[in-house]
This record gives sequence, C-alpha cells and structure tokens, in this order.
Amino acid sequence: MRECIEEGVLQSYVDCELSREMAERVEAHAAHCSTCSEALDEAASEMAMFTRAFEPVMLTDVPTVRLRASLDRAIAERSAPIEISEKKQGWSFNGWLASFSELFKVSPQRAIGFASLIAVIAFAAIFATIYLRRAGNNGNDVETLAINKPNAPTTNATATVSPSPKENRTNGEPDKGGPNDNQNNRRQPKKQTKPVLVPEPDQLPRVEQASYKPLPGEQNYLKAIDSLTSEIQESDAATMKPSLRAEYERNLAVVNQAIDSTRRAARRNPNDADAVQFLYSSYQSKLDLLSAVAEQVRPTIATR
Amino acid sequence: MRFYSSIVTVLLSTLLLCGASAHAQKSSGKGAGRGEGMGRGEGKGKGKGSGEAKLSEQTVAATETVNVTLTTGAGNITVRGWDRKEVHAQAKEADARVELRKVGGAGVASNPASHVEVLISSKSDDDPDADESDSPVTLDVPRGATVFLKSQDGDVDVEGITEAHIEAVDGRVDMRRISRAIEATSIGGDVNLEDSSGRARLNTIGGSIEVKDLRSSDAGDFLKAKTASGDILLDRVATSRVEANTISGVIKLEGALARGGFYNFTTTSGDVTIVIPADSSFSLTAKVSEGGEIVTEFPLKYTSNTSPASHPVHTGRLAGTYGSGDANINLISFSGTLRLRKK
Repeated sequence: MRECIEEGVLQSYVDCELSREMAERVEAHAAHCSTCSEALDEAASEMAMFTRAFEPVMLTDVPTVRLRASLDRAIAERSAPIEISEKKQGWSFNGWLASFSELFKVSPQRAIGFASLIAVIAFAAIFATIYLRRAGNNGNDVETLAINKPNAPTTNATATVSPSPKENRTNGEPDKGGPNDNQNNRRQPKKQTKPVLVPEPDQLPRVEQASYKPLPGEQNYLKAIDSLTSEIQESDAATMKPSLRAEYERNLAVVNQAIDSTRRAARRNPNDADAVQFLYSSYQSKLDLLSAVAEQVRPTIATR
Repeated sequence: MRFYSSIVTVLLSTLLLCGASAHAQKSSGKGAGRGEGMGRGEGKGKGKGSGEAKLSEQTVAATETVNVTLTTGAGNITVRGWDRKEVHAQAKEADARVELRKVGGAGVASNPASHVEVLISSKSDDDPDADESDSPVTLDVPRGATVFLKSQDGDVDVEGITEAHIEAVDGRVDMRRISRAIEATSIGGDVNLEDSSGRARLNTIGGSIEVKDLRSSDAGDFLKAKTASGDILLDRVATSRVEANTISGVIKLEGALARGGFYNFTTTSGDVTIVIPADSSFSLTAKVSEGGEIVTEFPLKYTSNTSPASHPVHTGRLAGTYGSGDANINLISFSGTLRLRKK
C-alpha cells in the first residue's frame, strides 16, 4: 500500500488549491485508502461547516485590496465633477440631510456596528453609575462623620440605632422634654429610611454614646467581640485563606445585620425578654463566628 | 465601512477565542482527571496501588473502643468501621507516608492500642524536613471506635463507628451509621448526618446542616444544630430533644414527633417549617417579633394571647395544643415566618 497523503495536501485538495494532476492522484489514493478517505471526508465536512457559518459574511461583497483600490479610484473620478458642482452651489441643507439619511441606511455591518456602539455606551453607563454611586456613598460617609461632631444639630437624623427618648426613660434617664427632644421626635421617621450602618455602641455618634446605656450583660458580649475582632485583625493576613476570609466576611455581614435589627427591637422594648434574647443570641452567633475564625488564624502548635 | 468590518472582525475573533479557550479548559480538565493517581511512589511498608505507584499504609492491633486521632490539611478523610480489632490507615497519594502511633502506651508494646494517632507526612522519615501531607487518607477502625478528626480544606466522610468528633474548616462533613455520639463543626462546609443514633451536636457557620433518620438509643439523646447563614433540614429525627438555631437560614423538620419530645427552633430572619403527620399530638408555643407570621394547618386549642379568628395566619405570639399535647414545640423567629403543615 502506498503511503498516506499528508494532511496539508488533503486540505489543499478540499480547498481546490491542487493542480489537476495532483488532485487526480489524491482522488485515486483516497479511493483505495480508508484512512485518507475518512480524513478527506472530515476535512470536507469541516469546510462545509465553515462555509455555512460564514455564509452571511461571504455573501456580502468583500472586494480584494486591489479591486477595492480600483473601485475607489473610479468612484473618485466619477464623483469629482459633482463635488465641484456642489462646491459651486455652496452649503445645501438638503445635502446635509442626505448625509444623515446615508448614515441610517441599514446594512448588516452597520447594524453590528451600531449594536457594538450601543453595547459600549451601555457598559460605560453602567460603570459610570457604579462609580457615581460609590462616590455618593463616600459622600455619605463624609456626611456622617461631620454629623458625628458633638455639637452638630442633626445627629439623631442619621442614627439608626440611637435609643428614642422613651428608651432613655426606660434606661433610667428622665425625659427632659427639651426642644431638642421634640426635634428628635419629629425626625424619628427618617431613621427607618436610612441604610443599616451596623454600628457598635462605641461607633455611635458621641452624643449617643453619652446617652447610650447597654442592656444588662451586653457589655460583656461587646468586650468579648472586640477582643476577638482585634485578634483577627492583628493576625497576619496571610494566615487566613481566601476562602475562609470570604466565609468570615459573608457571615459577619449576616450576623451584624441580625445584631442591628435585634438591637433596635431590644431598645424599643427593653422589657421584652424575647427581644433581648434575640439580641443576645445574635451576639452569641457573632462570638461563635469570631471564635471559630480566630482559632484558625492563631499560630498553630505542631501536632507532632 | 472599514470601521464596521473591523468591529465585525473583532467580535468574531473574540467569539472564536472564547470557544477555543473553553475547549482547551475542558481538555485540560480531562487530562488532569486521567493523570491522577499515576505517580510513582516511595512509601514504606506494604505497597499497593495501580501501576508502579505504591501507597503507604499501616495496620496496628487495637481495642474495640480505640480512640483514633487524625489531623490533615487539604486531604480528604474517609473512615470506615470494620469488624477487626485493628486500625488500618492508608494514604491515597504515592508521595505520602502514613504512620500509626500508639499514644500513652505505658504497657507492653504488643498490647492492642487504646489510642492511636495517625500521622501523615509528605516525605520519607529519613528526611528531617518531612511535613504534613495533603494526601487523602482512609482509615479502617473497629466499629466501637471513637474518632477525633480535624481537617482544613478536605472533606470528611465517616461511616459505621460509635463516636465521631470532627472539626473542619472549609470541607464538607458526611456521617452515616454513627451509633452513639456525633459532634461536628465546620466553618464553611455543609454537615450531613444520616442513619445514626445517639447524641448529635452539629455546628457550621456558613454551611447547611442536614440530618436524616436520627434515632434515639437513650432517653438523654438529643440533636442540637446551629448555623449562621445555612439551612437546617431535619428529616425523620426521633431523638427526644431537638434544638435548631440559625440566623438567616431556614429550618425544616419533617417526620413524626417523638412522644414527649421537645423541639426548640429559633431563627432571626429565616423561616421555620414543620411538616408532621395529621395525627400528631403536641403543644405549641410560637412567637414572631417583627414582620413574621405564624401559619398553621392544625386547628389548635388556643391557650393564651391568641385571637380566636379561624384563619390560620397569626402574628405575634401563639400558644395552643393539638391532640393531647404530647410533644412540645417551641418556635421563635425575629422576622421569619413559622409554619406548621400536615404531612
């Protein structure tokens, strides 16, 4: 049996690039060689697949470079007198409109081009929105910090967890009924529309820190949480695996959200044992999370 | 026109590149799968494996109630109970070496071990720098054994023993046919327990907990399941005390209640669903604090603080009994919905 034909030659045969003599040799060989025959069929089927895939593109008139140059030349020669006559006529409104109508003539290439342009603009708009939103959040942070100044008059308007005057009474502080309290009462509805900040009591605005009295036993939770949080933060970042960090941050957000919502409820109703229990349960969950993570980031003792 | 042609070309090229890279990724994945486990080993002791690879393994005589400890990094741990009074360990990668060390062996060296520590290292012990290996390990232990396992990223699979105490960080924990006590904690992995009995304490932070067919072998047996953001799914749990707690996940209990059993389920924002037979007998205390609802398909005899309305949706607190009130169900959610459904 003769040697099989090289793949490149088979591909050239499929592409009709072989001489007639060579093509006949390929056909003769393939007629007797099942391997080459199969390869030939496979190449032909691939060619057919590509032809089908690029059919829309191939149907459009894509001139060669030389042909394109000659076409451009011919068009330039034909259009030259028109341009002169147009120049003679000066600026024409109809011509200006016609140039726009030319722009909106539909062709597949233009459709794809416009679609690409729209996609780019959409992405740009999305990025711009995200960027602006972040910038807006940063602005809020700045605003919050400014409001946290002790003498700022709008402190309570931004606080999400500040105890209400009623709560102050239940915590043993008399309701002075001063003008500021009235102001606070008027602004209370705004509190619920603010985003959740998840502050710890020590992160509250100073005015609220002064008036804030933790629930019985709450301080112990907060101390323990603070200690473990410090330990985790002080540990080498490399000791926490990315997967663990992701899990930690995800669950920390969940727990903080729970603490925030339950704390608000507990402060509204400090005598509600269930509300307080929910808050303590949330603290305990945070402690569990921090303990588990702290254990992982602590320097380990060799097991052997 | 040239501009549009360029755009078309770029789009087509991107499409082709995406296709090619996806194909390449698929091919490399297949290649890695085929290549696994074909390395050449240098394990000591008995060799066993495919081709030239020799997997390190060791066996020691042990008591029926032997304690076995093992700590690994990323390698999976598989434990199986068997009828022999021996502990057998095998590393699943050729470049890992496994060693069984008797702990606290003050007696005769030939006596069966009551405590075995499994050590797995990545190099031969001629090398002083031998370190922990990430090789998977399988252990065969007596059915009466108690195992203490720690894994960082590996999964843990335990079956057919008496007690399992498992700590995992990122791995999944699967346990089946554990007869007396189960304690499993994980940070990010799921914890699954099936076809077992006794006391079970299951904790995970980000993972879910699933328990199927947990029986009670003693009056003091219990199931305590706790997770932060994962779900807790309990199916046919027959221990007399069942406690489940999650912050944002859901709790679902399905199956008959234990006579005189105590069920205490708490969530912060997750829902609780209890699906029990229509002929169940229980007393219910349910409470939602903010925004949640209590929905029951059982016509309860209300005991306190409950509106006499006939519709099954309530808010706030609900207390009542159904049947003779054998089991006690206590459901509390801060803002989730509590549901009792007939099976």
